[in-house]
Formats: sequence, structure tokens, C-alpha cells
Amino acid sequence: MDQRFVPLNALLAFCYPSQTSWPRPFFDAGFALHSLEYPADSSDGRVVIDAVTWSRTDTHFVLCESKSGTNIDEVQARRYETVQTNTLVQMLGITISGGAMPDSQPLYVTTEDNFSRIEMGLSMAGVNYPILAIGTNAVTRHGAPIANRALAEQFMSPLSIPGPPPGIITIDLESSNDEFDQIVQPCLVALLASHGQAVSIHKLAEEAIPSLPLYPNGYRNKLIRKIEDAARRAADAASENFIFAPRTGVNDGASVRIVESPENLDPRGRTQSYQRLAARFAPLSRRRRIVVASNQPTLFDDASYRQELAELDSIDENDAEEGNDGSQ
Amino acid sequence: MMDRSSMASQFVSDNRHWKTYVLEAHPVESPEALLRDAFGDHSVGITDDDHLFTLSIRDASYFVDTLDERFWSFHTSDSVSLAERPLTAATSRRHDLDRVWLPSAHLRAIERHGRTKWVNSDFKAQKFRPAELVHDLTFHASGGTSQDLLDAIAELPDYTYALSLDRVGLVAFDELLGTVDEAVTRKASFLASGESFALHQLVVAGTIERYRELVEAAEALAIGFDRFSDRGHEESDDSSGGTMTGTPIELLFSRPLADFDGFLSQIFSSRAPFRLWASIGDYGDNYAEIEAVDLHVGSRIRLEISPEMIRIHLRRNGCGNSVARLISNLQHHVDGNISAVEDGIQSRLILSAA
Repeated sequence: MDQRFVPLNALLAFCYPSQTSWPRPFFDAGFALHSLEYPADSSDGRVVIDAVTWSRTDTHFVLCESKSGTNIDEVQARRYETVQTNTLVQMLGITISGGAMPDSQPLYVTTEDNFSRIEMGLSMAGVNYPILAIGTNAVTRHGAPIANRALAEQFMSPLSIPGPPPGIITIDLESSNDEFDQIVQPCLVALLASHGQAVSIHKLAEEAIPSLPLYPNGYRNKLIRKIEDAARRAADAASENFIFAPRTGVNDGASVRIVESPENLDPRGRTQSYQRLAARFAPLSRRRRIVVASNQPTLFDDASYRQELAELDSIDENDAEEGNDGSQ
Repeated sequence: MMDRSSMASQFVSDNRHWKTYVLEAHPVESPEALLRDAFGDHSVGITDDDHLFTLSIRDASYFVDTLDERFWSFHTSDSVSLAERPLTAATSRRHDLDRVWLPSAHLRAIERHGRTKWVNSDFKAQKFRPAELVHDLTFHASGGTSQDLLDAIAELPDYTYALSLDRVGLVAFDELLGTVDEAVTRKASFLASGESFALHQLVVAGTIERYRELVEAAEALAIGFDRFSDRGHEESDDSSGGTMTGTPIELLFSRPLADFDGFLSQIFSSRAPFRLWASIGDYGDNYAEIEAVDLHVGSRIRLEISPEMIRIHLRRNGCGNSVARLISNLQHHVDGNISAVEDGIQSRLILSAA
């Protein structure tokens, strides 16, 4: 995963409702991830919040901005401070009970390498927010104190992390062609394996980038264009399997069509065809040939029982020749 | 015409061992349509029961019980050599039919239905474990205390990773229904004979219910995104935001992988049993992020792997059977003592209280 995505994915992991080896300080403090890429109103105009987290028990929002680089947008930073919490409650349809009024605090998440620049940038913008710095082995808090007590306790001392966060969001417009290839090629192979005939670029983009629905139209369309380019490259690299059909009009978008599928081959040929496809997409990969494990005989008493039991599940899928089943 | 009672009568009167293969099915239109498409129109016959079909493929004939919409039972008294190949070919060829992949504890749990007669553990990790360690262990014990012996071996901490139940035999009994001899494999193939088809069905159903809970627990963690406009918020030309559901599923190896490169090249070779495709690019010495394809079902699956763990990103509408298959095959070929981080998965994997 590109380092740029570490802050956002770390933030998502902090909120997971279920366990992974990553710590869940937000979840443990009673916060849930409410929304992503949310356009909120502030006194100074609209600001798109990367992640809105909400504590129902404390009626408190933490409005999170993940920063992959060293620079901050000062206007955006100031708008975070004046997000209208009550409007946010109303827009998000949040239910409040218990008598407390909702409040909020912005929080920036960045990497250990960048936090000092981010801290400086926030200072220049005239705001002071808590900053979480994601390191290799730990997360540390910098900047302003975290207002919510339960969440503040989670970051009283460096929080150990086991390694890179789960890669939920791993692509954006700044990603390289290689990175787009890496998500598009599996989608096309999945199309082969599921006996598909063709896929539109729009559908391919939805498959390749699950988070696509979250983004504004303009940004989404640019991502789709990148997917289209990657699809064209994939079809060029594996022209015996795919053909790229460019758009022909306003209503006829580009697509990728299957020319030949490994699924049409017998199981051994099919496997080899998929392996060739992997090599074609990554000619310098470190793949090696695999040898099929033999099946072990088993020992039982009754002769026919013994034979049948030994045969049960003994057919390797690689050996289940097509046509032997009497099907078409 | 056939119905369930005639099938049950045939089970009791037949002097051959009855086989039941349970397949996971995803019919789009109807079970009958899937059967006809998978095995040929001429091969499928209807019975008096809406959910029970006959299936004849060359010299093998089956009753196919589709009452459970997802897990179908293919019953046959024909020999394994005749009966198995068509089903294996179908699951190999089609993305809407798959085997069931029982983790070791699920095979072990079958003893709840009676008394264990024998156990077979078959661990084959030559490609994944260093030569100086036990990498292959085939173990067969017969007799009432077979499981106890297996448990005793499992108490040896240095060897727990090398135990992976492959098949078990038991005498199932029920005060009202009688007794049935059952042999069960990790792919949910049952070999049975005895005085009660109902009891055999009970053993199959119990096994599948435990398995279903594991599969559905994995599916409950599937990752997806929703745009707010799809959830009743106002449509907007600009961003309207959205939310994310789900969590990756992490499995921990009980012993770190010694040959990380070898592990990656083996499991992503497109070959059975894993049948995972990936074009592996650069990765670190101890961490790899792989956008893979589960060729069994033709769906994308993201995996993040280190020598200590494997993290599975099951996508919304992905099939939990992919997770169960991966677990079962990892138990069989990499680490028999693999565990899940998430309590809900772990409890359904080892069948203990969460």
C-alpha cells in the first residue's frame, strides 16, 4: 500500500466494529465510523470531511482529516473548526438522547514522517487540533489534547500497532498506472473465471474500486478514465484473452470483451492458461511451478468399504476432466 | 414417481453404502434450472417433491435434495468411482457450485452424533514447512478412544500445527431412530449405511448447520460502501458522502511461515486446492498485499499476508465459502492450528462458545 493511504486506512481500522490485530481506540472509546467523504457546512463554506466518527454515549463527533502529504489546505483546516455540529446531526439523521447537546472536534491523522509539517501547517492556519501520527510500530498523539475523555485515554501513551493497516482504500487519482493495473487485472480475470462475456468500463470501475460511490461525480469520472486506461493496457498485454472495445458514442461506453477464456479448456489447460495470464500481467513475478500433492491411501477393515472410503474425495479438481461427467 | 419416503426406503434396503455429497449452490433462477444447466437437460428428472430431483449422469444416479437452498445433498448408492467424478468436474467447472470445506473442529464435532470409530488426520505441508520440521503427518487410529489419542498428540505444543482432521468415522445413534455407520470427509462427503435414513440426514444437517454459521459469520464481515443518496439522503451532483461496513478477517498462524516467498508462489499458483490467481508484483520481505481472484467462484478477494497472519478482505456479496475453503486448505496444507482473531469467526471455527 502506498504510504499515502496509511493514515486513512489506519483511521478506518481504529473504528472497525469487529476485531483485527489492529487496535480499535475509536471503537473502544465508544465511537463508530458514521460517514466518509461527507460534505459538511461550516460558517465559512462547505468542507468535505474524510471521516465523521460519532460517540452516541458522549454525543460527540470527531471530524477526521487524513493527510497523506506534508501540506495542508489552510482554508479547509479553518472550515473544520466552524463545522456546524447541529446541522451535521440533522443532515446525518443522528438520534440524540440523554439531554446532552452535541459537540465536535476536528482531528488530523498523518504519518510519523509528516506530522511536524502538518502541525506547522495547522499553526499557520491559526487552528490547533489533535494530530495522530501513524508510525511503523506505534501511533502517537501530537498537537492539541483530544477533548473527548474516553478517546483521549486511548492515546495517553503511544499505541502499538502490528504493521501496515488493512488496505481498505488503496487507490486515488495520484496512483500510478501500475497500481491501477493491479486492481483492474484481477477484475478481468474474475470475469473470465465467472464465465462472463464482457464488462463495461463503468462496471469494471465499480468492481475495481469498491469505494467509488463515495466520491463526487467529477472525481469519480476521472477515476473511471484511469480504469479505462488500465483496461486497455490489460487487453493489450493479454490480447489472446481480452479485447478492448472503445466507446463509439454517447450511449455506447467502452468495454472489455472476452476473446478466449481459460474456462473453455480442460482443467489442466485451464490452470496453465491462468498461470500464463499471471506471468503476462507480471512478467517479472517470482512465481514458481507447483507440484500437486499425491493422495494418501487409507486403511480400513471391510474391503469394499475400504475401497470406497479411500476413493472418497480422491479426485483432484485438476484431474476432473471435462466431458467425463456426461455433460455438454 | 419418487419422493422422500421412497428414497429413505432405498437407503435402508440397499446393501451398498450410501453416499451423500453436499455441495454449496448459488442458483440464480431455480435449483432445477441450475441442475439442468450444470449436468445437462436430459440428466435431470423431477419427483413428487418440489425440492427433490433425480440426476443421472452416465452410470451414476443421484437424488438431489435442494430443500436447503444453499447446501444441496447429492445422495447416491452408486460406487464412489462412478459418483464422484461428475460432481468434482461440476464444482471445478462452475462458479455457482462448490464443495463444502469443513475445518477440523467441524469434523471433530460430528462425534456429537454418536461414538467415534476412527479418525484420520492428514497434514501435507511439504511445500510450506521447512524440511527440518514435521511437514507431513498422516495419522490413522481406529477404536473408541481414537479421538483421545489425537487429542493427546494435540497437547504436544510443537506438533499441534501438524494435525488436520481429514475424515472421521463414527456410529451415530439415536434412541428413536437407531444406528447408522457414518464416515465423513472434510469436503462433506458422507459414506453411510444403517437402519435410519432420518438419522443420516440428522448427521448431515447438523454438520451443515455448524458450517453455515461459519460461512455466514464471514459474510457478515464483508466489506462494502454505501453512498448516502442510496440510503434515502438527497441526491447530489457533488459528493454526498457515504459509509463503510465490514471488517477484514484475520487468521493467525500458530507458527510463522518459514518460506514466505514459497508460500506466496504456492497458494497463488491458480492450482487446486487453493485455486487463487494473482499476478504478484513487488512485496516486502515480510508483508504482501495481493489482489487475488478466487477461481472457484470467479470473484476478487484481497489478501494481506505476513509470516504471522493472513488477512482476508471479503467483499460485499462475496461468498463466505471462500473463507471457509481457505481456512480448511490452510489447516490441511500450512497450519492445522490456525486461528481467527475475530471472536465470532473463531468460535465458529473451533466450535466453542464465543
